Amino acid sequence: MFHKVGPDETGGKLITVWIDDQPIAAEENEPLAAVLLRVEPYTSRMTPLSGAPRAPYCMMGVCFECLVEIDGMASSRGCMAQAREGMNIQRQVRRPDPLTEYGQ
Amino acid sequence: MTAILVVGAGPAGMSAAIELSNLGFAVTVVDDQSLPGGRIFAGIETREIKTHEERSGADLVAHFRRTGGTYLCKTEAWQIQGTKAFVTCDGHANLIDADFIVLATGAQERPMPFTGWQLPGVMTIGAAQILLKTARQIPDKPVWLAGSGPLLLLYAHQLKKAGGKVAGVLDTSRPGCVAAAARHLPGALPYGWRDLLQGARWLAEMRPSHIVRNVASIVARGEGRLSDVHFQTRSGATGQIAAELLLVHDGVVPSTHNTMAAGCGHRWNPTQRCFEPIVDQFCQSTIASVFVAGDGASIAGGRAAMMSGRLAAIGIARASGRLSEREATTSARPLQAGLVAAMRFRRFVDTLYPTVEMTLPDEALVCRCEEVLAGTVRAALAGRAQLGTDAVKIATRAGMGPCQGRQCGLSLARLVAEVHGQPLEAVRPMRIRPPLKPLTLQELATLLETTP
Repeated sequence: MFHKVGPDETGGKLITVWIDDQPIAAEENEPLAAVLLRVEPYTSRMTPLSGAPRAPYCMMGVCFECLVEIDGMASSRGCMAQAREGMNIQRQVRRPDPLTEYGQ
Repeated sequence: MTAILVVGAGPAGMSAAIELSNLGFAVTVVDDQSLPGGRIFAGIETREIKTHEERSGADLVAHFRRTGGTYLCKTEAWQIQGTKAFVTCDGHANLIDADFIVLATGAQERPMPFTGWQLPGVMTIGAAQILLKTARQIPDKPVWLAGSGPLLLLYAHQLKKAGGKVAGVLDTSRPGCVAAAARHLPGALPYGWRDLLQGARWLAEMRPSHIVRNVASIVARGEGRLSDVHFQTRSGATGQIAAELLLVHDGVVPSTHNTMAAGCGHRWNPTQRCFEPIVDQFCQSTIASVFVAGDGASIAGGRAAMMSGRLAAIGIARASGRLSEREATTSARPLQAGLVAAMRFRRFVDTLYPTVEMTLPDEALVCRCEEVLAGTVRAALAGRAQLGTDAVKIATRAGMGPCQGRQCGLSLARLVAEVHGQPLEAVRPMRIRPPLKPLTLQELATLLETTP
């Protein structure tokens, strides 16, 4: 959907982040939501109500559509988080079920 | 020593901080980004400087780095209470106690709801511009733009320069605006002649292969992601385009979450069709310790925001007795005159590109987070004139999701006005409550350690 233009003149380091356990090339410090928009299916989450897919929309922290799990922290805004080597990103696919996940 | 907290490191916040430091105050600036500059100068320290405007932004950032006081990046303010501000940084919450607070939290794009706007593949033009500025990233195919406003032209220009292409424009602007704006042109020239020349150049060079004028409504369709955009013009003509990406824009509005949660008085601005905090000639809000500067006070653009930030600093010097009434009046006068000129220019821009507010059909989502349709909100309001924005929020959950009404607040106010047949001036905006940013209980608990 999006692609990078030209080489980085500012010396941004090439790194690898993990999106749903797939290694993805990224540039250090770029917004994670920017990375999500270069990788099929270009989405960030599914809504907890209807399960409809959503993608980054505003890129400035006001729409909360780019919520992803980053290194275990759920509902983190992908547009406000910066890519770091080895970061583990999971697209949010549903609402956590407290009965099956936290109960016995 | 009098301590000042500035929230936001865009043009207004940086200018306020520099001026306050010059006046001898102890200044702390918090900003949620990793680098100073705000949206307009996002990542300016890491970009190649190409334009006069970027040069002025880079200079301001450099000046701010030297003399703007203590700068805390990646720090989010999640509540302002009088002279106290609660912030979070790197997993830790903190209470900052200041004598005065400058809120310089800028603007956001006006939510532009239409059927299917929640589909992956629909984004704002502002988002695309941030992707270009912070990730050097552009659409990989010729892209359709929809809406109106200066940012649409600017992005088309920047996209072309970056090697991208506009496939076409669904232009929602109303006919007759050019004629209406013409009478504001003389007043606009002293402040904005350079911007106008630049805008004219962008218009001339845009020449997309397709332009559909007078678009009244848009419907985005697709299975799980955008595949087609249907549109109807004001004369009733319909059409359809295939698109996997649609970038939309309908102007910008002040980000009022901070000022509203702080309890500042607000009013409806009928020209710009948005709520804005009430401020005086020195940017002082209805709360004596809180000053509001830049686009967060009223949309006027980056250069005006710099003047407004400096004016807020003088206002604080006046309120704290650092400057006498006479000294403050004298230092403020050129800035106030500059802002009057900026507003005359803005009047021209607002008349040329008025908010369009496309038809909002019942099947369009109003609240993206809680997936509430316009029809559901209308049904909840119908025949119950006592229900306002807060009550309809409780009745439908619209505005209760993670964005806290940032994407639906204006639409809800609009629907309340529509269903009850009220002017928007009479509609009270949704009550905004802390925390204004996501906050974990763990982060909240750290207040016990960080706060005596």
